[in-house]
Amino acid sequence: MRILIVDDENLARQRLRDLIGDIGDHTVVGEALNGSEAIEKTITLKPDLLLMDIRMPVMDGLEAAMHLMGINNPPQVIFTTAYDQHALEAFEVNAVDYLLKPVRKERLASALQKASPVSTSALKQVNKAQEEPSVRTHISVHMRGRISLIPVNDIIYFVADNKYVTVRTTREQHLIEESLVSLEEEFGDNFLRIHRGALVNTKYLKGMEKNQLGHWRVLLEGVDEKLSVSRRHTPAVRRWVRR
Amino acid sequence: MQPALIKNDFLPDFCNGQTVFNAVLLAESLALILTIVGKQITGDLFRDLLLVSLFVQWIAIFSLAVLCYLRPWLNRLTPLRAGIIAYLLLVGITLLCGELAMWVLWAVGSNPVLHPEWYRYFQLQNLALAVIIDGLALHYFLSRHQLKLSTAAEARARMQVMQYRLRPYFLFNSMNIIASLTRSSPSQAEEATEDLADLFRLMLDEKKSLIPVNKEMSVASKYIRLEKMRFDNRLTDTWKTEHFPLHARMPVLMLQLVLEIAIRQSLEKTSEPVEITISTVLDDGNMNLTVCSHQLRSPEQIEQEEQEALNNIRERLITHYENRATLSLQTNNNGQCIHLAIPVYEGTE
Repeated sequence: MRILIVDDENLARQRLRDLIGDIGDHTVVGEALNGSEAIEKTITLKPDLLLMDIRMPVMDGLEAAMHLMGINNPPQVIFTTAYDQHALEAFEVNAVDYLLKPVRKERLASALQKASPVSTSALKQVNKAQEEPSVRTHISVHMRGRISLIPVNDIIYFVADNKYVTVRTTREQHLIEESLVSLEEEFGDNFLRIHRGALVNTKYLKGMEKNQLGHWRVLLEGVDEKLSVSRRHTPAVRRWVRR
Repeated sequence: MQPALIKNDFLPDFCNGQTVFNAVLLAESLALILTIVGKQITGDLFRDLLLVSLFVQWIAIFSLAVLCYLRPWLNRLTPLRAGIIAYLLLVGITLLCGELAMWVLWAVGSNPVLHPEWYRYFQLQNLALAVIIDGLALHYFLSRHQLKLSTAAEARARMQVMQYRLRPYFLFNSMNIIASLTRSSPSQAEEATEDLADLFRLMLDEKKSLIPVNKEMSVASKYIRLEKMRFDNRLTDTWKTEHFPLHARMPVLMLQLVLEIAIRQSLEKTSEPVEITISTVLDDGNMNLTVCSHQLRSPEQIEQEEQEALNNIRERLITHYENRATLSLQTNNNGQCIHLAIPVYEGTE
C-alpha cells in the first residue's frame, strides 16, 4: 500500500516510517505536518492510506479526514493518538481504525491489513465524543475531484435552498450538501440564525433596516446583498445588532 | 469516569445480599434478646425463640422488601423526607405484622378470638420496640452507606489529583518519542528516559507539596527538554533568571504546569517556530515567575480553553498562600505572558 504519514511531531513520523520499513510490503509516499497539508498531499500523491495523528495544529486529523471523505476514491484512514479517554470508545463503536502511541509493530501490521474505509458520519460521531469536540476551521467544497477549502472565518452566510446550501464569502460562492441544522449546531457560537433558511456570521453583521413593505433585512459587510429576517428571529437579530 | 455509576443516593440498596444478611442477623439477635429477657410464652425456651424469631424475621424481611421496592422513589425526595418516610414505613410495617400475626393465630385456631385481651399490650410492645429498633437499624444502615459514599468520593478526588499530576497525554507522547529515539539516537533516548523518570518521581510524590525553587526550575528545564524533542526544532527557550534565596520554596510542578499551558497554547496551535521566555524576578518580597511568548494565544482564549488547569493552579495557590499569591495572564514586550507571583519564605504545606 502507498501510505501518507501525518503527524506534527518529527519523531512520531520517524517511528511510523521505521515500523512500516520493518513490516515491508508498503511504501511511504510522503509526510504531512497537519491536516491541511494532509489534504494537499492526498490530492497530489494519491496515497491508499493515511496514518494520521488526531491532535495537530492548524487543522486536526478528524477534520482533515472529514474533508477527504468527499473526494473520489477517498483514501483509507487509520488514526493515531497518544491518549484520549473519551474518544476511544467512539472509535470502537463506529469502526474507525486507530492506533495508540507508542505504536506497536504487530498492531500496525494488522491494522494495515484490515484497514477499511470510514464514513463521514462515523467521523462526526467520534468528534462528538471527544472532550472538546473540534469545530471545523474550513468547509470543503468538492468539484471534479478537487477540494477547495473555505476558511469558516471568511464565510459571510449560509443560505439553504432545496437540497443545497449556498456558502458565501466576499469573493466567491459555492454549493455544499450539508444541512443548515447541523451547520448551526457546529458553528452556533459565531453564526446567527436570521431566517428559517439563513445563518449569518455575526462578524459580518453590520446592521438592519426595514424595507418599504416593513420587513426587516440585515446589512452585511463585504456583500451588497441584504438578507431578510423572519419575524420569529427579529428580536434575536436586533439584540445582536445593538451590541 | 462515569458519573452514572456513582450516584449519591441517600438510601442504600436494601435488596443486596450483604444488606439482607446483616438485617437478618440483626433481627435474629433481637429475637434472641427478646426471648431471654422477655416473659415466657409457651414455657419452652426453644419454642419461644422459634416463635419470636418467626415474628421478628417476618417483620425484617417484609421491611426490607418494602424499602427495596420503594427505594428509587424515596431517593428522589430530600434526604430528610426520605429518612422520615422510611422510618414511619418501618414502624407501620411492624404494627401491620402484629395484626397479621393475630389473624394467623386465629386462623389456625390457636387463639379462640381475633383480638384477645393481651392484643393491646402486644401491639404497644411492638410499637415501642419498633420505634427504638427501627430507628437504630435505619441509623446503622444509613451511616454505613454514607461512609461508603464518602470513601468512594475521597478515592475519586485522589484519583483526579493523580491524573492531574500525571497528565497521561504527555506521558504517552514522551514514551513514543523515546521509542522512536531508541533507533535513531540511543543516547538521546537515554537522556529522555532519565528526564521523564525525574519528572515522574516528583509527580508521584504525594508528600511533597512545596519544593525549593531551584529544584522546580531544574525539573521545568527537563520538561522543556522533552518537549523540544517532541517539537523538533520548533521550540526555543530563553531563561532570564535572577537568583532567588536558596531556601525559597514554591508549589511543586507549578512552573512546569504553567509551561505546559504555554506549550499547549502555542506549539500545539501553530506550525510556526515558537520562542518561550522564562524569567524570574525578585521584588517586594515576591518571586515573579513569568512565561512569555509572542506565539502564545490571547489571554481570553487561554482563559477559556485552559480553565481547568488555571483553576487548579489558583486553588493550589490559595491552599498554600491564601490570597497572597496570584496567577495572571498579561501582555508585555515579551509577548503574551502567564505570570506567577509568590511570596518568598511563606506558604504552608
